[in-house]
Amino acid sequence: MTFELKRTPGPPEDSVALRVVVMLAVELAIMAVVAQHAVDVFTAAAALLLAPLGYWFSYRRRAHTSLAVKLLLSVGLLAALGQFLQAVGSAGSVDQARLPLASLFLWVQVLHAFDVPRRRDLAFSMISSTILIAEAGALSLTTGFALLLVPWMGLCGVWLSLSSRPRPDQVAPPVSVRRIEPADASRRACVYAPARAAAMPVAAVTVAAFVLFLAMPRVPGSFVKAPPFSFSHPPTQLSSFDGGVANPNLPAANPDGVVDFAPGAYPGLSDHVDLRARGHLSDSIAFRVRAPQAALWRAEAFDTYDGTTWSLGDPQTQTLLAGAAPGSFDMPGTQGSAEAFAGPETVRLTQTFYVDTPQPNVLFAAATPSTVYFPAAGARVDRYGSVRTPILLDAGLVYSVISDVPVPDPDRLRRAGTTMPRGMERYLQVPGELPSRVGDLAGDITRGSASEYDRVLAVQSWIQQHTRYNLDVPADPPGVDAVDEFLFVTRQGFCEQIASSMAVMLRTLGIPTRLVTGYGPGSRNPFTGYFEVKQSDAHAWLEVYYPGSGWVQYDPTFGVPEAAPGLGGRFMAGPVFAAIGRFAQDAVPEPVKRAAGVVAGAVRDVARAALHEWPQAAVVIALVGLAAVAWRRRHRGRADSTRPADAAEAAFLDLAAALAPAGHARGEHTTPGEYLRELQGDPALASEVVEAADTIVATFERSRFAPLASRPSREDVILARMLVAQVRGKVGPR
Amino acid sequence: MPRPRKRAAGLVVAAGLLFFLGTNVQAGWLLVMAACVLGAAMAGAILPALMLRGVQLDRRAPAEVHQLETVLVEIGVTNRSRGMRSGLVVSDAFVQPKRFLVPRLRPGERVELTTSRQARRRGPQAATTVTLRSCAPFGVAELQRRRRVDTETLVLPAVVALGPLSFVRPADTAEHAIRSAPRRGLGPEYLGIREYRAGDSMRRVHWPSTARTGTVMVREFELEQTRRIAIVIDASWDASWDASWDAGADGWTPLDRVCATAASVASAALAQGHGARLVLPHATGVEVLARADASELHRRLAHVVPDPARGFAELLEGLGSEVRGVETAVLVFPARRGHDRAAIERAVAHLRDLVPHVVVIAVEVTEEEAASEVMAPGSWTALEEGLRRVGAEVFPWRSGDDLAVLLSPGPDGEAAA
Repeated sequence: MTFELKRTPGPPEDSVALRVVVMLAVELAIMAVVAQHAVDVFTAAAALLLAPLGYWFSYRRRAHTSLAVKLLLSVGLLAALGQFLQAVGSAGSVDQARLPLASLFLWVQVLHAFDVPRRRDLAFSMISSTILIAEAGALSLTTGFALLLVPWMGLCGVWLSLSSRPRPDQVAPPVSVRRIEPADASRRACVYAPARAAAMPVAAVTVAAFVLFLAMPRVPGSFVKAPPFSFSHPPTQLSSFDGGVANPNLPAANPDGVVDFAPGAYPGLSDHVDLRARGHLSDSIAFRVRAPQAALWRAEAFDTYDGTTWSLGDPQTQTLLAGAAPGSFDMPGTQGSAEAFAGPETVRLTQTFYVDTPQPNVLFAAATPSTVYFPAAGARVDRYGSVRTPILLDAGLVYSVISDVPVPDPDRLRRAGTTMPRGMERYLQVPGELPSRVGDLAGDITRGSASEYDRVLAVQSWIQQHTRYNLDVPADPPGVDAVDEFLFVTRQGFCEQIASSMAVMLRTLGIPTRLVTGYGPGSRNPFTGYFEVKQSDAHAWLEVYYPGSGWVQYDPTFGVPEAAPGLGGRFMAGPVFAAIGRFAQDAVPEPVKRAAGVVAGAVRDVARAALHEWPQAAVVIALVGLAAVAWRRRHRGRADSTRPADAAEAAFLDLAAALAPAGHARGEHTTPGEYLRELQGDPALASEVVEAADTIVATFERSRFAPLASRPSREDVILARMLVAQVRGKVGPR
Repeated sequence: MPRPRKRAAGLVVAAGLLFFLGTNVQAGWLLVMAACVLGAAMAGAILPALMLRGVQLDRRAPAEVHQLETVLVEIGVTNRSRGMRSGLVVSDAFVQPKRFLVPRLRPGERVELTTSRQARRRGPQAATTVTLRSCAPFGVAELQRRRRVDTETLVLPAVVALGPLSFVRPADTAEHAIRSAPRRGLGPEYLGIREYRAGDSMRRVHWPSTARTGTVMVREFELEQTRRIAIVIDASWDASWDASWDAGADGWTPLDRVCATAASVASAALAQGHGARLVLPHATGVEVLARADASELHRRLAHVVPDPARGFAELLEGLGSEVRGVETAVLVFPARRGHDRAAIERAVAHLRDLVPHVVVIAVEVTEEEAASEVMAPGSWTALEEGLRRVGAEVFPWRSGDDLAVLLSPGPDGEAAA
């Protein structure tokens, strides 16, 4: 039994194209959510199959609204809501509620698809699909999401275009529509006109969106904080975890005991850093970081240098204690201790790491971590603030860290005292065999520097000016001090040699330092917003201790990202152009790059010459402008010369077209008079049709052949057109 | 500049939400979406400005049409630009306000829309502008341009086909009687001689001329002309005669019905060979349109507008020579509460002294048209009785009645026509 409900205002939407566009957009949105593994397989398959079915059903039933269907849909919605509430009730964290929430969205979308009779309902479907694809976008880690987003955007554009047209009930249907083809000159333009018409809005939106994207500030969230969370597949437990570092991907040691770089493993992430190690790391992504700003992702710190190798002077660790939030662990407080950063300002940075390539059991985080969200208990921290975990950081593992990043204040650092607290001697250690010329050099460099801070900057500046970064530097000869060799022989090396040299030189000046390893900030993907950190971003830098202020990071190789970026650093223009540059560097063939360089050089030369000889340049520009205006006017004049066909001829052609289905197709060489006689000879034709044809043909012939004074008037032509409409009515629609 | 539509606000809000969420959850794709949505809003706000460039309009319509008839108006839309134009909405208030969609128009292409409209308002229709709108491609903003298009159509009063009028005696001739120039016919007045033509009666041969010229000549006579009916209309009042008239509001007002009645009676009388003259108030007195054919009478009635300066009773009181020789005076007026019934009765009695036969057609004013002027049933009866008492034949045209049945009933009460 069906009860008919009173429909709300607005006729049902009959446009199949509009419905297909909406359905495709919804399907793409569902696929996007499924691609992020946000729903289970059953829900995904059911949604993908049921949504098109729903739109088909809704189209067939658009003119009827039955209570039974609405009741069924309500029951379905209640069931989906019940399932969601049940799943959320058993979720232990916000992260675990993602799956049921996505499922609820999907079911609402699918059920809604069964009841979209009007254009406004289809608009709600588009809004719903926007929510779905936004959810997928929030979960997406890679640029591959564009494969779904771009077509979805295209469908949105088509939907905007189709739905912006007035509904059939908002316009009057004309009695007849006649299209008069353009003249030959315009016909050529017509060939590309549809493509141009489609390309123009696409180009306009693309340009506007690109500019807006560049101008859109990446401000830190202030209202809804990105919730820190952790997630792990079945983890790889370490058999005997005692707080040490396990890096199973490292290759076996060479005969001389040196462990070289492996493409997927940085030897600096172990219990020592050997400056004799050589090799290259791969460009595969190690992990992605969701964070509002860049930072050095710190893993380990070393205090003891023996001439070739940095090691841990104190291997003692302590266990992280469970924090207040579920899955969180608090770092042991350094407040009040000698090594605490006592600067006036820190920036709280919430980072979430998505591990892509297996990593050792060290936790990467911006300095200085305060709370860790990790999927396994039992992590330990050493005295240098490095966290080791009882499981390896396998691919797919997610963890969050909240860090209080120190914001160094140069004035405060300059005013730092010289009295070192107890226990800092370990950070002043240098090998006994260290050649004295290292210390002498440091003394020479810093002569005249008034404060410790100025001495640090002087040494860093000297290293940056007098050494060169080179990953292919040959191995050091046996028995030499790595720092001495780098400073006085090769002056080439990579981050480990550079950072070690600065650390050792500062130690010779009585400034406490330690070598730090981890990863550089990586490059920010402008689309996903994540920092993509590659294996080759593995990095070494140093930390310098300032009495009263604590440890401050220095990276003489690439520099330390700003702890409190200014306004300029909040925009995506830099990362976008950097990404474009990287793409151009990688993708554009060398000859093209060379050609572009030549063109750019030529343009530069011309511009320079024009500036030098500006009067002549102004004349040339004016002449070119005048020529362009003249060409355009001429072209426009040609375009205006096209005139539509004579209306009387149009009426006659319409008559022939209307009568063609009735067996009176006009031959190619049949004159109007012959055609009329043919009509008059057909007894099957109604007399009104023949009389109308007589008038129409007469009007046409007069328009063509009569003297100017006897040409048909405007009223005659209108009468002819009206008669054509009547003939159509008699013989049926065209 | 294109005017933003509600959709623009929706897109901006959506972009804002995406930006807010994207910022707070550090999701770059949401910022990409926000930029695209806002980009679509910006592009959609600018692009309509291009959609009307180079689009030309023209309109064709018949010179005359009767009220309430369907008229075919042709609108031509031509794209003189080099780009495709899409989503064009043509709004034309000519004769009857209508909107039409031209989905797309290629460069140089011309589309001719033959549109059907009902002529609702009587009188000259001369809407000079057609409004062209486009909100393509995204419906974010709408650009509107008015284009001047000169077209004029005179909407004549509606004419009801009436059969033989019950209140008029048949004329002696079946020809149209009133002409501005003498017409050849069978009347008593001598017009001249001419050469004999096949079919001429031998009794008309003019023998002296035949003898003089050597060619058979015949006499010609003027067609008999009659002036039997004078149609007097009350144009002192109309419902809804205010600013809405010019605003193009629909209407089939009491004055329209008065004019339609006059036109119908005149057409029927002329078709039956009677003479008909139109008497109506004029600023300087009384205007009489005599010796006119049906088209001329219709055109004059099309231009009738209410003029409260001269009441109907006053008009009738002033009639004299205007109805001389008239056999039947047909008075058409809207029966309304504002009339001075006694004055009208006196005026009709005065007219009855001048004209042998006075016919009154009282047009009902409906509640929707002017509630304050609607006559109560008792007043109707009193009006009819009063007019009959002074010797007039009364035809009350009530709402829903068929004028043809009312004025020319057949044997079974249906319209004779």
